[in-house]
Amino acid sequence: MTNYLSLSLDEIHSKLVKKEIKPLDLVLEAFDKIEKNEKLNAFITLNKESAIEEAKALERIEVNGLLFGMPIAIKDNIVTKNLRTTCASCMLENFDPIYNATVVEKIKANHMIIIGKTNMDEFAMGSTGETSYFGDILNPWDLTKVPGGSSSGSAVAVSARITPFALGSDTGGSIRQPSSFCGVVGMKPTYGRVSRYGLVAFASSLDHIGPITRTVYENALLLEAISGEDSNDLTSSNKVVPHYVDYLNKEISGLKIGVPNYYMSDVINEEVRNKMKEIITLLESMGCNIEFIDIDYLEYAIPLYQVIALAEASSNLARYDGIKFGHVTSSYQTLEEFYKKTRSEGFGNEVKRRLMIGSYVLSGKNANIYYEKALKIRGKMVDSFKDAFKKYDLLIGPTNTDVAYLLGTKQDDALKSFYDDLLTIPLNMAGLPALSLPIGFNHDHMPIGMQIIGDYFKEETIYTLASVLEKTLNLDLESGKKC
Amino acid sequence: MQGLTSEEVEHVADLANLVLTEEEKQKFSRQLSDILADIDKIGAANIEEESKILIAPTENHDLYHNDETVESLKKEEIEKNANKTSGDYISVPKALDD
Repeated sequence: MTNYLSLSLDEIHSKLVKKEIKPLDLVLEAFDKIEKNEKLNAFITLNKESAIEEAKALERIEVNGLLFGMPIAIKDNIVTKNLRTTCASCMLENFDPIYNATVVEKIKANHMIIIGKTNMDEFAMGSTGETSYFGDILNPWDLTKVPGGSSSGSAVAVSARITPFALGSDTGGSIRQPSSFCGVVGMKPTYGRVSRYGLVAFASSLDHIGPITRTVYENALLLEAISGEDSNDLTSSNKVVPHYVDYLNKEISGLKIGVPNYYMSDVINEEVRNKMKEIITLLESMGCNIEFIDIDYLEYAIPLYQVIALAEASSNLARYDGIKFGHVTSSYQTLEEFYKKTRSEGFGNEVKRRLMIGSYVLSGKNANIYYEKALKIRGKMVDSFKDAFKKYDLLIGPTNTDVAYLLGTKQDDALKSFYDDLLTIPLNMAGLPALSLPIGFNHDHMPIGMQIIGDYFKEETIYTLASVLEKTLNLDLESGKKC
Repeated sequence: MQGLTSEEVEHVADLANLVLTEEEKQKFSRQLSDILADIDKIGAANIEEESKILIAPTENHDLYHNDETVESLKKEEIEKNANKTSGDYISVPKALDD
């Protein structure tokens, strides 16, 4: 089997330009690798026939960009026309979208080739990759461990070098958490940087689409390709999209960086904290000015998420009633029974639990006690972040409280799955950009991730620091080598 | 917060348009109680009444555009994922009693 997809992007690109390889070679290699790594369960639906056709069609076009001909995996909650999109749910097991998400149109315009739709936690609800209707997804670094979630398959596909690129979505940490657990680079951009049109809605004020890649360079390229204003998403921003790669490997001396004390508390695993301390020392030696700071209201992150995300989810997922699309119950007497049975058969336990909580916090006077108050605390937390960015260029801290853990550990604990996102949720609440970068391994050689947080629409500053750190650390992050 | 009773779980399920088995009610009773206890931190938070709410982290501005005719989805496409159709229509269960 060929192994072009482990080469650097520039090397692959150069081979394409020199016609030493064709896009079809890359596509066939990706499908070979999917087969070889079947046990990872990273994909729900493959796009084999169309991908091969598209790759052959590209042979007639001049290579016109770094992303040309590159295989990409798409999380299965981003709609793809005529390619089944399930959200890893029985509810949408046979759903065949009738349009492409804006990000899908953009990657097609860049002549990237969609290999398939990746497995995930059902409706992006979960942080372990264990709530999918299509079975557990495994961590390529250690098959007994979870890959993180909910963009599990996207992170796994990149980590196992099945595809160099993937798209994920992040509502409370769903790009950054699996990226950290799988040793890949995952970016949740500023809210509004990337159009959400065609992302199956979970919590609209917290949902983001972003790139998951092997390197910071690839991440910067893909983010630029999918960003921009979209008339189909009125929360998308008309701010100019920077040429992010111009900001890579620039001078970091003099950068002012804050470390929120909340991100270094005793709750965080000691090895993760120690690795973070090493990075802080390294950055100081490179001329960065680092200070420990307090951000107010961070301690409310989890309950804020439980109220706001689940309230929005209960409203968004009310559309699954079996009428226009989705699962339909086969036996019912009344319309009410039709709705209830359809939904109860179609949704898994994690989704049901979250919809019940969401409906509860919005019902009657609870809307004021919980929902409205949560929105006020959210406002206060955001003010505190804005104050921090008056003084600092970036904030840093671990992505997660720990590294990947054993499958089955948290399956029956309704609370623990939320607590995985302790350090990622605040940035969804604030809409600030944040990237997870691999910074090393624990004693068991499981990857540790660091979060680099920027001010609104300052993704380029994040990429500068991430690229310098990546180059300095020079880690071997190809997970397949360990398996 | 105390554990939810079976009736309370049933009520919450009803709000979400779900129906639960007895076994599910028991399991969810404990799990929902745990989450609701966590959520009580919001109720207990000390924050000024007049604080501004933040619905989405975006700087909303008014957007205007001209009325234009654009291509829309075709009926056949829209009906493609429906369970049951009849002619140009999507069939639904009877909504009104006799």
